[in-house]
Amino acid sequence: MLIQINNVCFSYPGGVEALLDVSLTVQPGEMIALVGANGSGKTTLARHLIGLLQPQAGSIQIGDWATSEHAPSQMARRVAYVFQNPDEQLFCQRVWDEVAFGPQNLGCTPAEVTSRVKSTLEWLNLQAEEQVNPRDLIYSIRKRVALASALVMQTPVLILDEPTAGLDSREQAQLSQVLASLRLQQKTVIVITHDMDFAAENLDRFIYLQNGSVLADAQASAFFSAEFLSQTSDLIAPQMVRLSFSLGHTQPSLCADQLLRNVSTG
Amino acid sequence: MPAIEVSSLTYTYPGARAPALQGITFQVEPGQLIGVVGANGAGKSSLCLALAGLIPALFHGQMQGTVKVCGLDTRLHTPGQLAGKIGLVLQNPASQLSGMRYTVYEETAFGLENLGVPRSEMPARIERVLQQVGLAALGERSPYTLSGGQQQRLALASVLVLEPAVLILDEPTTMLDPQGSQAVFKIIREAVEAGTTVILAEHHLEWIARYADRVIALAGGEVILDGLPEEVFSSPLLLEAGIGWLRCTVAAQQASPLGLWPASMPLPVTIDAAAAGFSKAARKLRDVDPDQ
Repeated sequence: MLIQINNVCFSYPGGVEALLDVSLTVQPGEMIALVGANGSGKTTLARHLIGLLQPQAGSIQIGDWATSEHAPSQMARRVAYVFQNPDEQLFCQRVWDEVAFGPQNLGCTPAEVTSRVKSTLEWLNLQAEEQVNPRDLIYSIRKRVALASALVMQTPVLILDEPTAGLDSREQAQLSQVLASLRLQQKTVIVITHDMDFAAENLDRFIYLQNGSVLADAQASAFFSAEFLSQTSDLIAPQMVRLSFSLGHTQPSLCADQLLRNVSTG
Repeated sequence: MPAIEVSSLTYTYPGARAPALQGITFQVEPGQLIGVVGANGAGKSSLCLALAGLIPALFHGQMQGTVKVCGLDTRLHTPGQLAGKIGLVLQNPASQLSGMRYTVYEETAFGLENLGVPRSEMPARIERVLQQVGLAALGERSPYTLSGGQQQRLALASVLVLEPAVLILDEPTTMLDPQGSQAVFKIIREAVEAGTTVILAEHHLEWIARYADRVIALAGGEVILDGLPEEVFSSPLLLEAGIGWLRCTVAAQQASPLGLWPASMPLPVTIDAAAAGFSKAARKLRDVDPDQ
């Protein structure tokens, strides 16, 4: 589903300018990393895409819907959002109810709700937790429940806010697999992240916000070029990129496999 | 006297079937930064709570063995008595705010007031620490209007200002951007250079490899490794424990059977060490095959 963000401006009460004339087009099926320092506008932009915030100037289209003409409850059919902190998102007493809440509100039949919840819990390996109160789960599993409650909506667009924060390496590998299957399903995925290693390995296009403006927008290998990195001070490149430049390669490697190919060809 | 002495510590939360910590024994000399790594659920946070004396004092449950911090047995002293020696920064900064102070400045003063620090000493200490963590301009703001990353800095400030001998940090940078994280790790390292003993639980292995003097790895509540970062971070046990390796370590291991990593060199845990090894292997290949 095509996303068009046209000249969007937004200031919070008190005058903090969070977005300044942001324009972006996202093609269906793109895998995007939305990066930038704390306070650069990443989350504000994401909240516009789900209709929680409305642009003070400009417009946003998700497919043929303008976010200004559809309530957040309607936008939820097209865009699902996973909060950084699962505790802002989870409120039911059981994991099953939490994951069922969205499809129930979409008006799915009870059979459809059951089938969606069951398959989503299986997908994220949460079957054992389905009767547990989310508050009794550790942080990283609560995060997985929050992800489940977004995936179950089966929206064409998915936004994940800092999905790797607090995850250990095995959980990050599981998240990589989820992203790989979303890629196969040709979903549009926007990941807000500081985790450049994870982003370089799992996402294609990097949009870099600074003080509410788009400072760079490029495919990963161009984004992590030596030329661009030399111009930005508040970005720490992925380990493999730094290693490839330490070795004098002209092109950045985004993952270990690519680095080894570049090393072996000299 | 060691700053921390943990001996045969086993702890089970109330109602839990299995212990969260099992047979943990280690000592830490003053002025060291110890990184604690482990998969989620391995016992990192429980160990932090035990070192601060909150386990068992607040959490109850069953504890065997002893924990001594600055020579004080945590079971013979209340958390309040330990607070002057031990500072704890929790994973979630919101759960650390006192909820009783209206501004960042007052929140930072709260611990000092409770320790009975003379009023005349407070302003200089508070201003210095707010400057250090980058919150000097936000002193008059309510702690509840801060972003997650700013709250995390405030939680650190409110503990640093007490100048504890032992500082325990449970994933202190999860909400910070890379620059913010780097700034916090520099502050922590400065505290270590000034003699503070730091226990730092953290998922981000690259920071630990760069800043820690020693690493303790936990799995299933037990210590599985305890050594220098370069020893611990290249151990296969870390992979089995779900902690994983740094990308540069993984790359070198994959390169080894291809002849792209020198057999004589240990697996690297820093980018610099990785670059040195890959360059050495490349030089050797060129020497063997001049056409390369």
